[in-house]
Amino acid sequence: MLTFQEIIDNLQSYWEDKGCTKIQPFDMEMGAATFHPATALKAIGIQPWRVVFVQPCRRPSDGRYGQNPNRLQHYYQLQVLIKPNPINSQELFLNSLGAIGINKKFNDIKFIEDDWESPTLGATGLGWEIQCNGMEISQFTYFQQIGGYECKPVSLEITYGLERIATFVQNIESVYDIKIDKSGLTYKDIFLENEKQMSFFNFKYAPKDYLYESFRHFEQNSKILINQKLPIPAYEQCIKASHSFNLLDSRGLVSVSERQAYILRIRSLVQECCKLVIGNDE
Amino acid sequence: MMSDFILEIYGEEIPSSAQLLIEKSLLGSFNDLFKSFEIKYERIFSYSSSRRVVIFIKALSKQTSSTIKEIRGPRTNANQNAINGFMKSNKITNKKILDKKEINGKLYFVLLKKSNVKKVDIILQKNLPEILSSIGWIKSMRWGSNNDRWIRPIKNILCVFDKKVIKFNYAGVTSNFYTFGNYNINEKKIKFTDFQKYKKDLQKNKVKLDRTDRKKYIMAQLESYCTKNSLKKDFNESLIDRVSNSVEWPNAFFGSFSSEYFELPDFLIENILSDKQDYFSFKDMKNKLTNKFCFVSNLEKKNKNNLIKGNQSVLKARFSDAKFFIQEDKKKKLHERIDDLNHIVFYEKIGSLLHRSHRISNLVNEIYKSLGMKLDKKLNNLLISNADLSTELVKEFPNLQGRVGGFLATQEGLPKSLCTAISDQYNYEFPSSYKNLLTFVLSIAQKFDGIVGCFISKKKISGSGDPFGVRRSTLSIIKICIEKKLGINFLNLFNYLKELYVNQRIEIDIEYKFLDDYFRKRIIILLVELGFRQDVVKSSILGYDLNPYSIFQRVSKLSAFVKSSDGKKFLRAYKRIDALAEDLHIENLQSNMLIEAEELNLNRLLQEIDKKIKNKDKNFIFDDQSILNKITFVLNDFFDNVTVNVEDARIKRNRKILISKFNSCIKNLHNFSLIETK
Repeated sequence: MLTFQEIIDNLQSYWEDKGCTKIQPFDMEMGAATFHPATALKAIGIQPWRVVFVQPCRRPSDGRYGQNPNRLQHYYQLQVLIKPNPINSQELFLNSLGAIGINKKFNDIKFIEDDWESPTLGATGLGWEIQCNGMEISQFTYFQQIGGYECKPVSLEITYGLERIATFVQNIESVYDIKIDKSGLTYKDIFLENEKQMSFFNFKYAPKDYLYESFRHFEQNSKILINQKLPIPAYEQCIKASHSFNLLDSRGLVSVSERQAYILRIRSLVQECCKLVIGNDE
Repeated sequence: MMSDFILEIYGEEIPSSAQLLIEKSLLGSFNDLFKSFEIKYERIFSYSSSRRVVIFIKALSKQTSSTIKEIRGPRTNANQNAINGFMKSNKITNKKILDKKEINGKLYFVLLKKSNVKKVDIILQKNLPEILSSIGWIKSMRWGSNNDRWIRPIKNILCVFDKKVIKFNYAGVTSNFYTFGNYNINEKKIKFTDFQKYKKDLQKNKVKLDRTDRKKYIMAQLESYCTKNSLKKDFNESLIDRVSNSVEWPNAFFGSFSSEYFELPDFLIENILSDKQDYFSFKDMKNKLTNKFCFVSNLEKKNKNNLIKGNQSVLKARFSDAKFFIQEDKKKKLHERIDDLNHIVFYEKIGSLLHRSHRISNLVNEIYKSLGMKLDKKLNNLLISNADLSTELVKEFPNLQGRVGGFLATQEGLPKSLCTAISDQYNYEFPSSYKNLLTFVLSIAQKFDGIVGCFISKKKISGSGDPFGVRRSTLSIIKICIEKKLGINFLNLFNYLKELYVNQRIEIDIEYKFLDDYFRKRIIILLVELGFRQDVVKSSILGYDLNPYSIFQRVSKLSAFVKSSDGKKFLRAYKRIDALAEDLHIENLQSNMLIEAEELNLNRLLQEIDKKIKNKDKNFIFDDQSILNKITFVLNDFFDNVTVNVEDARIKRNRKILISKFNSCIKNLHNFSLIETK
């Protein structure tokens, strides 16, 4: 039985063998690995790019005080980005599952239509949510647009939900029972308390006024940096604004209607950043 | 000289919604191609599944037939230049090639042009890339570095006609002789020989090509399970479609979930089963939801334990998540949640959801009042109508907003009509059998407040999309007013809402004119969609109260009238006056200068209508058609017997004033000048 660490190692080695460079996580709170500049800012432009990395992600509203067997407000995604996408993208992906012991002959691997979009990043792609025996384990996307700009050539983005995959591979029902390594250490030992406390923060104590203020502050900074033609720091401010927004959302402070408006505000900034990146690339 | 043709585009998973669209588009393109080259064939078939789209043409001509086309030239006695020009444009040097033909008693040169026989395989080869690139996609994609589009990456193209490959390239793939078996099982490479064998080979390799076969196979498995377990054979049709499009070999697997989850409301269980997981749910003979479910997979039954266990545990996790939410949500009653709404921003600058709840509650009462009714005291508890927006369940399942509120209200024992209204308020349409008035009024109130709120906060909605759902909401409330016969004046509603905003100290800086234009445009769109003529709709809408139901009534009556023979006569008579009328209707008419009987009649009719307008609703004109017939008669009588442009300038001007006043008076009733007459 593969441990959590072995699953990560096997996937990374597999993709390294396929020509991807192993890079490290980005040091900011983000809702999904797509926000990592190695994805968001590299999927545009014409230069080839092949990377694999693990990214810790935070989705404050997914916190469940440690009580739900597979919902977490902090979790890990393993992401692969290959530009242009290989001809045999789907086979490569299925073989990568083989590398962690998931065989398509004995498991029902379904490609469920999921025209992925990240409204905040102004990104769209066509692809699938991958289910293994009914459980979503990955996202498989051919990027078509980022920040409103056409991706030419098209990048392939594969995002593995590592905890979900580990529960499947280790044949357990709760993420907290995941064996991290051979020492016997479990996910519970490392993260349960974190989930409990952070859920209190996300749902009850994240400071409301500060969040509104910080969102505006990051938005303003990003605008200033865009005017200075500094897309990388400007984009970092977008990541920060996005996290403030996610906290406002988990605090239940944003209605469904106003949520869209916040998203559009971040998107327009990301779009400006992409415009500058493309300009530099050309 | 006929032979069969096959085209199979094989690739990565094609979404269910796109499969039929691709088939239809390809059929259309092939038909157009065959028509333009006059290519004959016996029958054309199309198939699609999650991995392939197939066009099969039985007995397709191998070549086009030779046809003789007659090109008419100049008359035989035309000047030489014309004849030379005709010969030059048809690349003829010898005049003797031309024939002569008598047409309508005149003799013309004609050229009989024999078209060359063309080989159909060459035509296909040349046109196939164009056919594939001209699909009317709703969504499509590029991949790699190429620019061709398809729904998902293409892996292989099989294209054979007359036992030979038609070689062409699309999206980097070159056509060949091969197809593939079920991707999830062995994806065996199979050489194509003929269509019957192709179908058999696919079947052998776990591919049911025909959608109907896949559906029948699913149905048979579901029905046999129901018979064995005494369950109702009532299946979700759209789910059968979706599922049969998602696999090529639909094996059904059956699982169950713990009955502890029956504490979740049925709508939530069914939403998770069919919307989130694409599982079938089952009801017993008493129509009670059971704990059994079914999913469909390409895999063979020998793997069933693994599959069922996996799917059951996914369901368990989803249900336990939902259960956690409900337990949390039940800790607080709806009225206790009202204060929580105060912390949720509705739209920036227009306050919180609590502000919105107060406005909705007041709007509902105002609408009842405008309909001449009063809301029952027991039901007048509408501050809770929005309270479910603070629940965990709605945060997790936003599409269940309203339904969750209705469920919690029912659990609290609130009146049924109120629970139903809370539950269904976000529906965009209601069937004709749906009767709960409070639902309609609440639905109109919350959507109207949402639309106005969005315009205040966002100023304008640009582009063709509908990111805030405003366009959809607008059409919905217009539809509700029309279908449920609710005469609501939106200007009055807007003015009332404006006061509510002022009382909440919220600045409202949009003009009614903007909102009015916005609504009128949507009413026109909707009524035209319902089959009314655009000119009739426009004439009935401009200048009248913004009351969708009364506009609809007006359009219905006017539509019937303009189609009737009396209507046609009236419009002809009306056009006579409309053509002569000038901007003189405010001038004074000199009664003593009216001499002729016909102009005196016209003036008398003018007074009569004026009086009616003062006392009655303008719609009387379509309720009492005798007055329209009278207008037709009096107008025709006037124009047939009275000359307007007489020499005496004073009489001429006075008659023009009379005409203008009459026209203006009719326009007050209805703007007939916008109606087109043929």
